[in-house]
Amino acid sequence: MAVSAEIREDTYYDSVTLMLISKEVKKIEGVKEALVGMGTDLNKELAENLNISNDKLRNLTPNDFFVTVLSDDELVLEKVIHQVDILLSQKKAEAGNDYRPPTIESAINYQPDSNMVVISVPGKYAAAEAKKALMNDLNVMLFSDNVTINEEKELKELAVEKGLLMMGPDCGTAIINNVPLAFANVIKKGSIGVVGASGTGTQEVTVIIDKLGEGISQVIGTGGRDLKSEIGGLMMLQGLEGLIEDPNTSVIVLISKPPAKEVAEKVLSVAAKSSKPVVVDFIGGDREQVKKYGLYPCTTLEDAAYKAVALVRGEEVKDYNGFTLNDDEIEKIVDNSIKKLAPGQKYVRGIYTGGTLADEAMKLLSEKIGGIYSNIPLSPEFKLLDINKSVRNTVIDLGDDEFTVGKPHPMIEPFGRVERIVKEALDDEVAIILMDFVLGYGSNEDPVGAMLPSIKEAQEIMQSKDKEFLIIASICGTVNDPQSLEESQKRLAEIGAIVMPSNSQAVRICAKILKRLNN
Amino acid sequence: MNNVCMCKRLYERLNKAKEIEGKLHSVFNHVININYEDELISILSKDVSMMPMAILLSNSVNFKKQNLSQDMNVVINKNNILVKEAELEINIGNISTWNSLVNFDYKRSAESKLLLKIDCLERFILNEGSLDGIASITFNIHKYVKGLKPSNTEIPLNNYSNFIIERIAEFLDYIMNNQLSKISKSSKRIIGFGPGLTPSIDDFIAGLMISFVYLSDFYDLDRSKFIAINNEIVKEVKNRTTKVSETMILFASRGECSEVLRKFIHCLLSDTEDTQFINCLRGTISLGETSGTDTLSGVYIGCRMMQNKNFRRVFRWQ
Repeated sequence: MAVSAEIREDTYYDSVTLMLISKEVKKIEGVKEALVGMGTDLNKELAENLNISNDKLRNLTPNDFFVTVLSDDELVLEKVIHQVDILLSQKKAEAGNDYRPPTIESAINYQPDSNMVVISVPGKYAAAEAKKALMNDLNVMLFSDNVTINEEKELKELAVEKGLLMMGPDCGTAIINNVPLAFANVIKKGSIGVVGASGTGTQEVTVIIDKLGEGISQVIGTGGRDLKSEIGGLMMLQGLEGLIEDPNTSVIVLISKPPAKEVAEKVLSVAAKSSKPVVVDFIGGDREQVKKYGLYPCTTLEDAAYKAVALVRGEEVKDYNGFTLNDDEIEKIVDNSIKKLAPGQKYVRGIYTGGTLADEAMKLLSEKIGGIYSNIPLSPEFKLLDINKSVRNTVIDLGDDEFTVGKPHPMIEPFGRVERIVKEALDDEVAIILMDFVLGYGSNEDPVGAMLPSIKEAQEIMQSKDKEFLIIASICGTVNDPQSLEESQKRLAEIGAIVMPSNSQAVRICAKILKRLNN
Repeated sequence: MNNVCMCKRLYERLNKAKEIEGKLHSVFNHVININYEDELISILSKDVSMMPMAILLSNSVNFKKQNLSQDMNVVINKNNILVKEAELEINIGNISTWNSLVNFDYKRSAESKLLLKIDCLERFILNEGSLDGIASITFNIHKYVKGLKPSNTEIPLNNYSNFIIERIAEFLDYIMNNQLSKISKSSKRIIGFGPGLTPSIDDFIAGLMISFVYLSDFYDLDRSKFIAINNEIVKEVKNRTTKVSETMILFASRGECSEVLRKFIHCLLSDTEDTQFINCLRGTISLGETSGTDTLSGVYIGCRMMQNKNFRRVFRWQ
């Protein structure tokens, strides 16, 4: 074993640099022990204690910088010195970038020409931080939840008064001036403007718009409660009015779960006054109400995207309720799927990371096969008694609060889904596992890869019983997203999954298979 | 043109001397330090919190990009800061002054509120602090020092903390028992230890000493007795640690510290809203890499020591 010390006499590096060097040096293969610091008596004593001292080190003064390393390989010691040199010169090159303002005030001070702030702090403090931002004339995206409805109302009223955006609380998706914020995909630039009270709903619509060859001007999030009576659609209206005036927007899309009746009326009447066509997806809501205002109601998120694209292109606007594949191809998939299933296998288990996608799945499935159990059921009688135990046909939203206390959202880390799919495989009556994979910024760096081992494990459990289940999946992503869409599709296909181009198509094919099974 | 904020003590020196000439001691992104008569004067970019013997510029400056290096001559007067060799001239416009002396201008809260904030401080260090320094000692030291309220959580000691905890315990023990004559010797055994340009222990001790000064006011105790302890702590600090750290510790022994830390102490001891307190915590904990956390650990331990009525009894006015 040899000790080597790299010394820089009478030289000072900031603590961030020292810590970085310490961490990086310890990672180098072959380094048994390392110490980085200033040559104070105590630090030298620690080096002695760790048996990584030598004469060079012993003669240092407190104002000398040292790195000392223990290794049994001379080459390693050279690597360390080289790495230290790189890190020190790297820090010089990055000299402008290491200040991280810890508060809004210091951030404004540091970057006074900012006009937007994204806030993600514990709910208890979120409203105060958002208010501070608004009072400083900053637009706000508030990712935090656990903000009270009264606080939300106050913030949004203040934002409206100042002509600012107050996106949230619980706003997970926005694309402002083509910059994806929080959970968002890389979407082509275009002329479709979106205001969404639903994160993955907005992602699904924008991703399909991109796949169809069009693009977006702005995507404004409002947070999930915006269209409740108490809030009155303040941000939906603010966003809508902004897009009406925006010269770069030619078609507007509004997305939300069904709003309070009077709020829907307010929003629709403002939309109706616009000379720009407005597509409205109040997911599962009253289509006749939307038609009454001369606007374009939708059947699904995919349908909203198709309609928006048709309007941009001046094409006929039709309901899109079909499949990208032709009827024969679909029938072939259904036939082949049925053959794989054993008698008794008759249920679907939807394990979703995106709440709106889960909601859409439940609505479409319940129209075809009846009641769907869930942690977020469409009717109270279908509430799961134990959210960790599926019953008959079940669709769960793993991103709901009940599943995420103290844990990251499943779109970031899919621990919950990894465990759940294996659990579902233990149930002999399961025929189909329905899943969403959401790509884009904010999501896991490899949503499909993260699930593959557990999918295989679940398949093996089934195989041990001489059974198989079907995996039906959709990938919410574009070719420009950081994760590879093509690779993701390929890897799912390799394990036998049926990969459909949208959530609604995945659900429709699932419904076809189940109906055939139960007939 | 920079409208600067200048430490009052430095301003008064400039008034007398008209011009100060020193040598560049160290250059960082947002701070440069100048050696002047065995003291350090700091020039701060506007991103940095004001501190003793400093000049805070109103502009954001990246000093690393200014071709500055150690030992260059620096001249400071009321009109400009000049480093001829680097062709750097910072023109000074208006000068406002900042008093680094201890400031007791806050509205004292009830002790019950302080105790809640101390608990909050402990949780904050654990959840948001950088534990790469010696902060892990915070959650274990009660096992070594009698009279300290146990921490609500225990976490494993890292290498640094493991090495030094018993010496810190001995040091704190002497303070708890007001054994003045032993404090200096025990502080020599810990000062200068740990990672960082201001070694972790130095930040811890600074936090501890500042908490003593301010808490003496909060509890209406004889501050001079705490100053005596602090003087013993720093008695032999010279050449035991880095120059930057030595400067910091000496100021801290008198209760003088950066504006952000002073603001935090005021928030801690007064009836501020939770949000403001958390903001101050966040501002302090983000200092340096581990410095903020280590300093707050020192403040925390100082608070816990002060919670001990027997300890406080010794420091009553007589």
